[in-house]
Amino acid sequence: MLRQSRLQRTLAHPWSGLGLALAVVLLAVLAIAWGPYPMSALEVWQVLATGMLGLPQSADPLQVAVVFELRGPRVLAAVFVGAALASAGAAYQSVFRNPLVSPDILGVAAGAALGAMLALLFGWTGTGIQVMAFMGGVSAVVLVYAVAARVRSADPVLVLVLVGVVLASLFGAAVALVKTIADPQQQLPAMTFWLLGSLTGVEASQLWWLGPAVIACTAILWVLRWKMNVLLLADSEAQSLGVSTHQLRLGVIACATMMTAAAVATAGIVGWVGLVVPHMARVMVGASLPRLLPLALALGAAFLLIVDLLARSLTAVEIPLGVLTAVIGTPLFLWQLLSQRRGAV
Amino acid sequence: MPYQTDAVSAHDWPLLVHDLAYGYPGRRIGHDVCLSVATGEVVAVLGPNGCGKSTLFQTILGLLPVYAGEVRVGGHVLGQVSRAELARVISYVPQAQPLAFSLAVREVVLMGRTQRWGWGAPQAADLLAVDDALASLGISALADTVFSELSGGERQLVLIARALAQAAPVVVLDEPTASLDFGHQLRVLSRIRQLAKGGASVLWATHDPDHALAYADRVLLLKDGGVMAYGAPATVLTADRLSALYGVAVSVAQATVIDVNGSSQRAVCVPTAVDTTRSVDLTP
Repeated sequence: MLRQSRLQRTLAHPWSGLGLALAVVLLAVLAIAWGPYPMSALEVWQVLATGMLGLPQSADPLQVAVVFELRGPRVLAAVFVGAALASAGAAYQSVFRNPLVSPDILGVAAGAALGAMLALLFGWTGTGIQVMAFMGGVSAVVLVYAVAARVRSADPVLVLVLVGVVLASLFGAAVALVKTIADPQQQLPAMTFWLLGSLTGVEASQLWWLGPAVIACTAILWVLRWKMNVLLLADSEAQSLGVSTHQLRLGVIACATMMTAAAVATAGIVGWVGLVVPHMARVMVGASLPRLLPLALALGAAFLLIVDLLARSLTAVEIPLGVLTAVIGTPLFLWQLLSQRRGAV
Repeated sequence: MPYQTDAVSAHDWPLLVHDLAYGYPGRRIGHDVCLSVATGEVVAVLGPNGCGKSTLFQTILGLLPVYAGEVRVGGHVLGQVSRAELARVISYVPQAQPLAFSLAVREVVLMGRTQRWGWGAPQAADLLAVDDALASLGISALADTVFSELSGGERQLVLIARALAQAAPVVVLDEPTASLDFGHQLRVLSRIRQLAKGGASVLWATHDPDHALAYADRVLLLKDGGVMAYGAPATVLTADRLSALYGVAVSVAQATVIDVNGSSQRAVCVPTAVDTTRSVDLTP
């Protein structure tokens, strides 16, 4: 019989959340220091602290530009996108009581992709693509939920998944159609690039809506954490414990969808993080959301931070994020799967 | 057998069901069900598969709409009370299934307190209630183990502990002994009596007439959604009724049970092939 491991007890400690946050901040500072124009972590920290306190910078203006305009926004975007995908994945998996569910299950990625493809087809750039991707992702899930709500079934969760899978494949077909009619010289490469995910060219202005969206949705999920635990039970059981399962599920799906759509609109399709990071976190601390959510959040942030660092530094031409997440994540995940004790999944 | 009527106070009768018609939206399953469960009483519901037991229970738990009639739980009238308020007066012990995810036993039992802390986090009193519930069922040692890794019988005890932690005056158990081994069946059954002794009103579905004979204060036989008989086990559970209810030949025999408290007579159900004129000696 499985008892709590030492790691589980450590991570259950009230101060563990602070430790996780510090670890992510430390990683972020190191990531900003890393690059073709080298800086020490201490220099990065000084520039960051001076800038955030609003004091006049004494450092080299080039260093200030690197921290606040080049690497800083990109590293922060990686933190927000990774955290959003992983915690949304944890929420989705709990709501659907299924470890194989990813944030894409209700069509948010497929809808966002269709929105972005259309924007690229119309020749839009920057904000236009982002807004279209965000709207596409959110409307896809609204459509799926609206259709599923009209189906009379004893298993509303199964209906949601079915409708989500079916409509996502329809959006996928539409994406393929848009790609075939796109200009193969200009538009098609941009589309392919977007679909593989990247944080190249992320600007500080984008963080002003990505950050608040992720923080607000995470905060709501955090408030719902104990009630989400009850959703792990059968619906009738959860309801008998005083939880309104339909409203709660709708609320969780809405939050998880908004933050996923915001993440996808910024970084394109970054697969894998939302599926496997929550799973890895669950093996470490169990499925109870008050413990799972913070760890999934920190792991997701740290994971995408490292992956993006490698994406921009490994080769002269940037490797797409969607490729690297799978290439790095799969061996990590398999190693964990092979080394774990029985029944921890 | 005349029904207990509703001319009693909610204080003595935490669960009162009067002329209830129930079923799924668009499909009525049963009607004219009356029953009442007093404080500290165990009422067993028996009936063949598909007779409407589970649907009736879901209706009493407020999970399905009341078609006609009235259900009063802990002084509240069903349909006029929120889900969260209802969870304070009635708890549900389903057949224990493994969960898709690994939750510790303590976390599963803690869920019984969900409606008490509202939007916040569990308080010290909630954690204490969990420890007490586990201790009173003698399963404190399981507190940090993974729920889904337990045996069926242990899982069932954990769900009873969750109902204890929920501390509702009415407890509804839906076939808690199904698919358990002999020892765990008896262990779970004795915990059902313990719930009643602690002041709960227990409504309990079972497939075993012997369990009802031994552990229930009153028995309700449900056939095709309606009440076939309702009253004391010894008067309700006759060979004729059981044969008609399940469609198989059954006899009820008197057994002499001898234990440390001396000898006593107890009714037991046996298939008709057994010679029922002879009393069965159960001397250990």
